[in-house]
Amino acid sequence: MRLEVILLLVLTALLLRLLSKTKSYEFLLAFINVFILYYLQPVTSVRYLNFWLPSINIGLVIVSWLVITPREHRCSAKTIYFFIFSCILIQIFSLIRYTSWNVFVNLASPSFRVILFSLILFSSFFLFMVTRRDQKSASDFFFISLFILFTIVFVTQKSHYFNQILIKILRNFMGQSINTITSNDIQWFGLSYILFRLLHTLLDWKNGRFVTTTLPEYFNYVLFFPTLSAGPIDKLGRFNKDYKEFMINSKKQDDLLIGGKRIVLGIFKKFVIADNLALIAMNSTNVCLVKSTTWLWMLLYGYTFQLFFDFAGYSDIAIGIGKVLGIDVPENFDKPYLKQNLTLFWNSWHMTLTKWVQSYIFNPLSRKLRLSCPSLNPRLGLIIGQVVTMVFIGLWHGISTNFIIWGLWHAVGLFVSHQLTSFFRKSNFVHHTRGAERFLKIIGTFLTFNYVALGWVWFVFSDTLLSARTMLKLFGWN
Amino acid sequence: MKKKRSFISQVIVRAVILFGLINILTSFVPWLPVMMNMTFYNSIVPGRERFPFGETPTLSYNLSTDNLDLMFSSHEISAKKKDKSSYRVIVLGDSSVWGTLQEPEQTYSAQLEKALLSKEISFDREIEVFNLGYPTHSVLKDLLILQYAKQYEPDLILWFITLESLIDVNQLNASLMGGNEDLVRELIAKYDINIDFHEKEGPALIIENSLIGKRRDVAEWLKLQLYGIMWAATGIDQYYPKVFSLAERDMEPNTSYLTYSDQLQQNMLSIDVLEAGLKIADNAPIVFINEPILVTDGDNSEIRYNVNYPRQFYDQYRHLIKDLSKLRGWNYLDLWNLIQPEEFTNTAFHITPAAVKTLVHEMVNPIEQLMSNRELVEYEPDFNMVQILPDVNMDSSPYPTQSQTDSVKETQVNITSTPPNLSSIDYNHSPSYACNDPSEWYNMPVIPDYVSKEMIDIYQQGIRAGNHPDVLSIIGDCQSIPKVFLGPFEDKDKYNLGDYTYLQQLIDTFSGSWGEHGMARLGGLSIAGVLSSSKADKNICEKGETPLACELRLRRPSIVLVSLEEWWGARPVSVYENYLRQVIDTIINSGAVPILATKADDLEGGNQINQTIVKIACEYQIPLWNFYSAVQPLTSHGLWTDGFHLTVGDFDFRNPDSLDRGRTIRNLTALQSIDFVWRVLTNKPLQSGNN
Repeated sequence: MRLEVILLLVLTALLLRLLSKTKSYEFLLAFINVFILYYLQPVTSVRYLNFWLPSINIGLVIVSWLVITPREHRCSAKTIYFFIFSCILIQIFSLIRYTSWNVFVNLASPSFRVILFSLILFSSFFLFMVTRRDQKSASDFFFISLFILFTIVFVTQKSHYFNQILIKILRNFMGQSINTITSNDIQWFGLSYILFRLLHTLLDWKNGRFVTTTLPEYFNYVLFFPTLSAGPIDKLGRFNKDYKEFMINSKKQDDLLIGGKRIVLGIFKKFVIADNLALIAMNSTNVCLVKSTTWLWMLLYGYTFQLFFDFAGYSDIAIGIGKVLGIDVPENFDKPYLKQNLTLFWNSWHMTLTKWVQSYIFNPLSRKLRLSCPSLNPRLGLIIGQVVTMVFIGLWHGISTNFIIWGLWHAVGLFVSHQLTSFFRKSNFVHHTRGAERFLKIIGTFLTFNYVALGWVWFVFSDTLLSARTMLKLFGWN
Repeated sequence: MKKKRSFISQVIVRAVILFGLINILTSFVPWLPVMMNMTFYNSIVPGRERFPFGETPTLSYNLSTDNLDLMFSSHEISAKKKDKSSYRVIVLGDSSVWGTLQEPEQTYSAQLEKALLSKEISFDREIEVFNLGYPTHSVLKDLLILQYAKQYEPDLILWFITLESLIDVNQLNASLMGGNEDLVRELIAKYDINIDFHEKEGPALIIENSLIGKRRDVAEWLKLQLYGIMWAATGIDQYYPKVFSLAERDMEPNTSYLTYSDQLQQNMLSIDVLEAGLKIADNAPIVFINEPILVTDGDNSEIRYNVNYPRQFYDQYRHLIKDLSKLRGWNYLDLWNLIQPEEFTNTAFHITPAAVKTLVHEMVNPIEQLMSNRELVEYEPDFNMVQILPDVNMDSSPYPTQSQTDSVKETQVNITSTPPNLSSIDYNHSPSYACNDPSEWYNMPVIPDYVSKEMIDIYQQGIRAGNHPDVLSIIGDCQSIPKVFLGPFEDKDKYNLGDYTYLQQLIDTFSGSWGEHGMARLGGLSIAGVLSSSKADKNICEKGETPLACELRLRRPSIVLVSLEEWWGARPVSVYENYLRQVIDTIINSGAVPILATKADDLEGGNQINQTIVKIACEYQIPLWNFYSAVQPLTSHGLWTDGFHLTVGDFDFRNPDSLDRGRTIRNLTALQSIDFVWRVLTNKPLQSGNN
């Protein structure tokens, strides 16, 4: 994301803050969220896709809410008004192509008739969903359908193979040549984080933990613009609490100061540190050109820190803008490279993702294993859980061999780290030897940092062979 | 409200004041040069071997900057202060010097340093050659760099120039000028240079020198330090595209140059910049080197050398510079047409790494002498070296008129399709009558018609001693490199023998030799060089071994073709004769049969070299290939306007146009000569019908 875009988001947040006391703040925030969604959607070479993708996002949000909300809350005037408002927004944005605003938003949209027809169709579905009775079987059906839909969407985005198939289908449908396919044909802005939020609400609802919200609240939670591009992943309940408080209570005076500081820090981390480190960060071009192992390590460390400052920078900006809008977006990083074991690392790196997978994958899986296989060795149960979790995280970044290996790398690392930590915790030597604990901390931090850094070798390249060769080269084998 | 005020006053106001103070302070304190000299280079990472310049920074790990402090601080020249034990050579010029499409170790400076060091000259100081070339044609830009480089105490300055860099309208084009306006103005004023540089508009704004005013320099400084890490890690400082467009060979029918359509006048050239350079250099000698340019043979090549230069303007420029050099006692080397067209890359100035070696070969002897400040037996102790080319008639077209051709005494040349009948060889047949009368040397037959019994004996002894009957060695210079001489005969698709199909047997027998580069077949190789161990390839030849000895040892040829044409006009021909005798003796002692060749040019005047060659051939009774006679009937006697290089032709012996070109005839008559000698030596007469 460019600096001027970030400054625009900051200005937008400041403007919203000024208007937070207005009655239509919810709708205003929704408008801004939708605008940002369309504005930041990259132009794609498949015709009209940069209009449909944000529109589908909006549709998914509304449908998800309809699935998880009880009938008594669904059938309200506010819901209908908001839905109509959303449709009008979509229609307005589609008409921008006919105005000079198109330069600003750069939207290629289908014809008015096509959009109108789609909206009519969707409205019919909306009406059906609003008025349907709450039946468990129907709810289960919708839940599974949505889940399958999310999975399909996710796989077609993250897997190169399926992505190409989808692009061919879409191009054929649009009458475009399939000879000019590129891997960048579909770039779906915000999809990953939107899916995380939708899944979180769906799963919580399935588990009976869901707290009912209004459609505007849900809409603004899922599409909250500061956190669309790179998280953090917030939880609905926590978000709503801040959201409602911000609209009702007077604004906290230090919100601006704290938020401003975080934004400045984030900009510094991203545009000063990360962007300059990118010049010396390992990539698939320079890795083949490096002359010696020492310099290769330098490049690896360059990438290690570039990745951190880039991601942490964006998180700081998101947290800062969130703060300006009265939302305490959760922290995502807590000095991860200074942690003395891998468990602590994962508790301080992309913390919101870790918590999400812990809540929705690791814990349920571990519980399931314990209940269904009581005789299963706890260590085995642990490693299964860790492997599944970390491989999921890897696959979330992309469905490829390298990301699977990266996930496994960390799964094994976590298991070993866990075992070592348990061992040393019980060791008398550590407890009774002066300085041993401190020494172990230093060694642990050093080893954890380098283990994580080496893991990035699988992360940075798409070619497994290149990653393997680089790994060998790092240890002196050319 | 209190808290809000407190936030605004405590944070925002203070931040603004602090920022303002920093900028005001930096406006008055000369902080920028200090910062630009704080660098990773020459400490954490090695200094760059050429100035930072990069049009694709992310691929070249390099960027372009106008800041001279930054340019020099990142360069290896600022690694350490010069001490008395080092001899510093700096090379100035444009992108051809900087090394576009060349790796750092392939540039003029790197190759020159390598060549000077490998010569093992008796020199009491450590030689360092630094590349201070920078892309864009402008001698004023070079002067700016020279002015700055003075602090590094160069001992010798090699300044590559060309018409583009000297023409007045180009002087201010370099971006370096715009980024160093004050320095440029100072130079112009101090040395009274006749260049119209606009006066500064109004007084400098305070903010110009502040942190915010110089933010671009700061950003470049930071990026260049980081790129230094990539430079150290990869050795890459330039993006090398896999594919690039070659310089245009076909040109528009246009005789104008830039905005000029009339004659070139001296006042159009920034000669005063060169004079300013001489003043700045002070005691350090400057050698001005007219850099090689592409001389094409494409469309409209009769009026233009290349897309940059119409012939008329360029010839006038050369004439002017040559005269000025003589008049003012400048050291001047004219290498304008040294490099063959095939060795140029994407512009009319950029050459391949192989061509750089050729260029350096040409430069190294005079430079070595200038460095050593000593006299050589074969060289006049004159440090105002001027390599004089034959007076070329600037008003003439490239090709002489019929009357001019007729006025040259022509030999009856008889290049036939069939060699003489070899069914009976009379070994008592005496050599050509021309051997008895040196003045008739040009009447020697083009193709030898005689092989002495001595040579046959030498051949047979050589074969018994282990020489290969199917290996031929070629000892020669740039006119004999495989690409232009005999090399294409390795590939049937690259030649057509036409009526000379009988030569196929020879071609097949010596397959592998035609394209072999060999140890003594190199551009720039002279007869002295062939006998100098410093010219030998140190990776292949033994220590102290000369290129000739190395070639004979490694390849064990049975026949050796000797065609060495390069010679310094200033040296007496008797020295050439001494060297030639040594070459012939060495070859004969190895059991191989030499074939000597005359040359087409007469740069030394009076055809002294050719007479010497014929004299030696007669004395030793060596077969002689009289190439000089072969080219006399050709248009312009088969020579370019430089009077040395041959007119370019292909290897198609059916094509009458090609048979009027020096290069084609050279290849044909060489084959015929070798064929005759080989048939006599191996007693393989042509059967009737073998045509």
